[in-house]
Amino acid sequence: MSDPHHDPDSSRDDDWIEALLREDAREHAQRVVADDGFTARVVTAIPAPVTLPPWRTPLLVGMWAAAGLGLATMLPDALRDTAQDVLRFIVAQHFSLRDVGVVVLAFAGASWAGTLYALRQER
Amino acid sequence: MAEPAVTDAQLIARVVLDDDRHAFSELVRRHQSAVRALLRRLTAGNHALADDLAQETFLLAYRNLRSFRQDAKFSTWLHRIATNAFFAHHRKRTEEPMGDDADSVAEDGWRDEHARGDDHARSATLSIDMERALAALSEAERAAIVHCYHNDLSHEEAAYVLGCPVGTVKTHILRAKRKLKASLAAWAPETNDRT
Repeated sequence: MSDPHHDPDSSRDDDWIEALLREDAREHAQRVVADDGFTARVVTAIPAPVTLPPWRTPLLVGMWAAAGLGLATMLPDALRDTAQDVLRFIVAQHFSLRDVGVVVLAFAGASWAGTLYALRQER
Repeated sequence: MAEPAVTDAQLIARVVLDDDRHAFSELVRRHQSAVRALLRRLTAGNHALADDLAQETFLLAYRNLRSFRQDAKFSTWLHRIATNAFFAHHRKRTEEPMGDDADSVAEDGWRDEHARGDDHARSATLSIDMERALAALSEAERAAIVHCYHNDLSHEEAAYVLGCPVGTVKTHILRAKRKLKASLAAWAPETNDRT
């Protein structure tokens, strides 16, 4: 079998050091390091698994439910107020069809540029 | 050697999916010898340091097992972590000489005893001389030699383990061999004239 680490360009002068390295490697390959409790020490050193307290899930569910309920009660009014404000603001402006077109084109251009940039980054 | 009944991949899946510590201990048991032997070579025979780094290697492997993509062998992945742990340790403690502790003395004692047998005298002496010669190399050169010769990795695999280009591995090996030739000149065939 040819030696993959032997440099064919090097002189024959290197052959003895190659042979010496291979001989030493063979000698070391035959040695087995006895476990002597090493595996047990490693397993003992593994941190204990993080176990969540049993009351954590019901508590989280309760908190999210309360928050959701609060939002559901408050949001319709807040949402309606905001929508009316935005509508009033838009109606007060004088947009031409050309302005709207420019905005749409600019938005499309930015989207395409962003997509192309993301694809380029992934390559 | 017969294939184990449960493969490494199956054990890894058990650890990742069920946090099965028994499966992980089986992985450690299977690979501890190779990882510790590698680190003993990299630390130039400092067994205590090698075992500390081996433990750190397996703990890091446990924590990062989900990121193991199986594009390399599990053993190669472990060797990469071990090599990184060794380099990280060396960066932190460059002022500490390696291989100078009680375990090295114990190892020397083993070597002396080992050297007494005629059959093993040559290999034992070579082992001592090689370890000293390897200790004189830079960490990167030593790691390249250990991975390519003692672990029998290809240059490409060694490049993956060392996290550097293949060309850099070749350069490290070339430089290392040049230094080893000088350190181990006494082992050169007598028929050759060397300067």
